[in-house]
Amino acid sequence: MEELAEHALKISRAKYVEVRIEKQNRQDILLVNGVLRGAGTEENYGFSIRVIDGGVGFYFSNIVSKEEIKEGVRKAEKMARIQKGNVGLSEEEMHCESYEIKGDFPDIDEKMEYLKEIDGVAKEHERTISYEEKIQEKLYMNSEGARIFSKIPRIYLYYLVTVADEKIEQMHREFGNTGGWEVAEEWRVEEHLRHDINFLKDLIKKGRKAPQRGDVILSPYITGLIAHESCGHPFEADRILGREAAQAGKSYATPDLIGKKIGNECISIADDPTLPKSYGFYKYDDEGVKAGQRILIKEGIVNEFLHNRETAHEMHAKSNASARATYGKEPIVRMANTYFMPGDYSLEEMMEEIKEGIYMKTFMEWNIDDLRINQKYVGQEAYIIKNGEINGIAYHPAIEISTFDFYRKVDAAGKKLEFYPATCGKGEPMQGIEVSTGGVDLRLRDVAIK
Amino acid sequence: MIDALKKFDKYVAIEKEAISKQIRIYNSRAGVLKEWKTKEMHLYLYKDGKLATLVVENPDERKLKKAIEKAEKMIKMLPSTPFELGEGGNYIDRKYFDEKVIDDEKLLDLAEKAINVSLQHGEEVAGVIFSELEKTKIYTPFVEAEDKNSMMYLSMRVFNETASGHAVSCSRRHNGIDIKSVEKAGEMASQSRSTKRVREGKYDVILSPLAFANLMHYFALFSSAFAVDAGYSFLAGKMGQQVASERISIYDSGVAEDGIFSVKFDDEGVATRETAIVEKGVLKSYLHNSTTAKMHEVATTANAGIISPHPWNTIIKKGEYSMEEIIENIKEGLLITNVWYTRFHNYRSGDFSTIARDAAFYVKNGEIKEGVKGVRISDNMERMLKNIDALSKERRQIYWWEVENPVFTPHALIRDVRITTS
Repeated sequence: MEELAEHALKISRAKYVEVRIEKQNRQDILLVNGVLRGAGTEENYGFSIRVIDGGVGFYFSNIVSKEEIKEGVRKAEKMARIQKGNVGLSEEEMHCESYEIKGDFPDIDEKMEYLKEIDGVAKEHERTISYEEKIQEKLYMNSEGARIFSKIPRIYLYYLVTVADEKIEQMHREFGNTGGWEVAEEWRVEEHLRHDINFLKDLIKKGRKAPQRGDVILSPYITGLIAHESCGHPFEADRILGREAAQAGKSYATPDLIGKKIGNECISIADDPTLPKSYGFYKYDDEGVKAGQRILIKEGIVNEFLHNRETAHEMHAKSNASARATYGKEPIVRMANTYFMPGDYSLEEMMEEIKEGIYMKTFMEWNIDDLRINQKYVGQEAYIIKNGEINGIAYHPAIEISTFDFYRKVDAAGKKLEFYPATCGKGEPMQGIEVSTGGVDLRLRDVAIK
Repeated sequence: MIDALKKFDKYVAIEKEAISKQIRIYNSRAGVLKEWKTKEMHLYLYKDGKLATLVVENPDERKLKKAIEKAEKMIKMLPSTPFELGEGGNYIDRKYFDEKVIDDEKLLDLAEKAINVSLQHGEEVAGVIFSELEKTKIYTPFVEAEDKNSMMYLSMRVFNETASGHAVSCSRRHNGIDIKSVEKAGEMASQSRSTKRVREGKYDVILSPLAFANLMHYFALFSSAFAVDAGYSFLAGKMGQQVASERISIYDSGVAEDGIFSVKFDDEGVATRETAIVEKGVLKSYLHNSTTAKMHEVATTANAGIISPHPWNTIIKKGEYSMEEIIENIKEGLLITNVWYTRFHNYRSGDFSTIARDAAFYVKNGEIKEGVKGVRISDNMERMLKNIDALSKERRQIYWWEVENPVFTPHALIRDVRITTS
């Protein structure tokens, strides 16, 4: 790998060049209603060259040879220079490091046995279970002296279960971490699946309309998504600068939002790629910048945006190591593990101060507009709160709220921090990248419930 | 190399070679140019009732030998998997092919023209021009065949103050890209500069091709027999039933001349064709490969995907009306030119919501009035399909970031749609 990467740097005459050489081994298994529908493996081995010299040129090939690399450098240089642009990069400290996260996987028969046991819990219902593991080796080098080798294993499981009675109800869940097979044991998938089936049966029989207005407690399962969608995405500096305008959209945030109050003091949101075992883990980003925790909102005040070197240069800031690229794609600004930071409240304390409202634990449907303002979440596992106590199951309560109202209405943040894996989509061609959404229970006062 | 596969009871080997190019436009200029060159082989190897699937990049004899050894090891450990393999049939190949879609100069020229046209109507433009040439070879016990395909699309978003319009044009030929669509997007952006917040309620809604394609590309995915079996479709158990208004007929076509997903054969080597999914509102067929076809006791529709059948080009039959006639028929309604973030609360019931993006307008007594913002459709897919009252004569092929399988679609007038907002 290293010899080929050095060759690319040596032959390039561009102002800036970087090379990624990647090996990826994937395995996936798909079970539908107890029947194995697919089991596969995929081996990827390819390189990408990115040149910044006026504009940006990017070349990828999975034919890995000196000749092809030479061709890649020539083409990327030509593509960059033809634009006559003025793209710059922030000055950053470059590093040379090699790191590896341990994680092994057993043979496929052991995985099948594990999945069959999970499947058995739901054998009376329609269900789909998918499993994926991936070991990604990446060598990154650039013309400024960075040399980062990483080897990261990831493991992921998803299920969708359908319970049919007088009505048909569904629930899906994801499980995912950086690491090997050992983390699967920590997921307690069977327990979650059993719980979801029992809840859906209760929902069909006992679900009733939620009050039309009240206080709302949202669990970390939902607040994590809200942190990701209404803070993480709009704080991506490439989006603020219009680079994603025709795809992932624009942002309510503008460069002068830094330092402005956006929410109550109990709201702080961070993004941290370095959380051990997290699904969005990395130590160095795809521009060789060392990663650490980023505080996006601190006690209600906008603190920093997510930057790669290009956006940092344009906004006179420093990169906070947010450049990420999936296999064969251009590095762009991404989140890693985005979360509401813990407050002081227990769930019980939050609930006992509510006269009427709902507690939303999981969702199925959600969406948010182009500027990341108008958002909607529809509860699946959700409960009615009356005089400080759970008082029945709420049937599909929905909140539709603007981002600014949301941050203004939160008056309490819980103590317990939880993370959930997700695949975040951005870029064109689409780059689905591993992240986690995290959070604590949040209480919102006086919300319309639909 | 392929002889080594003959030790399996059934096999499919698909070799693909592709060159793809992209011009990424933002802040009204070409900002990033990209190129990909890829070679890969997809293998489906079946023995003793068990199936292993593998992908090998830049395949050679050594890699193939290693892949076969891996497959043999997997097969020993796996339980059985249903797998049927179709025979080739008569290939129809009337689709367009144009090597010029990846011509650098032509792509740059197109980008420049699209930017210039956009800026005549708007203050800012962002978008993408993407093109690809792909050669495919397939080897099965029944078939050895080759195919070559070209495609390109332009997706441009024009901004005027806080308003925007979005244009998409897709073709298998460079000359098939319609720059005028960008002009139209610019006009939409200009016309929707002043907006009022929408009031919640039920409206008659016109969905433009971009917006309706978003819903219909999900419909096409839900019509896959795999989606039906796996709990991802409200069409489950409704074969032969009325699932939409009698005014709509929906087809899948792998043979459309300019359909950017048209191919000579599917992943089993079976000749592609046109399949009626819905005719006059009645569900006629799911999309099948040979495996799901056997499970459902029907014939394949040549939509393999070996694991999951998938749509090629979804084609909505044109309607009889001009846009003017459709608008005239509305007492109080909305014209929505684009949607995104379509998310389902329940795949089996079809409950979902989606958000308007770009220009949306309030329509009163047959006239387009002011722009509206904050529009979200919160409804049910089957209910909306049953409430289709008119389709336009004009039809466009739509494929972009939010519509991942192409749809040829007219404008659709849907009565009584539930609109919510935050």
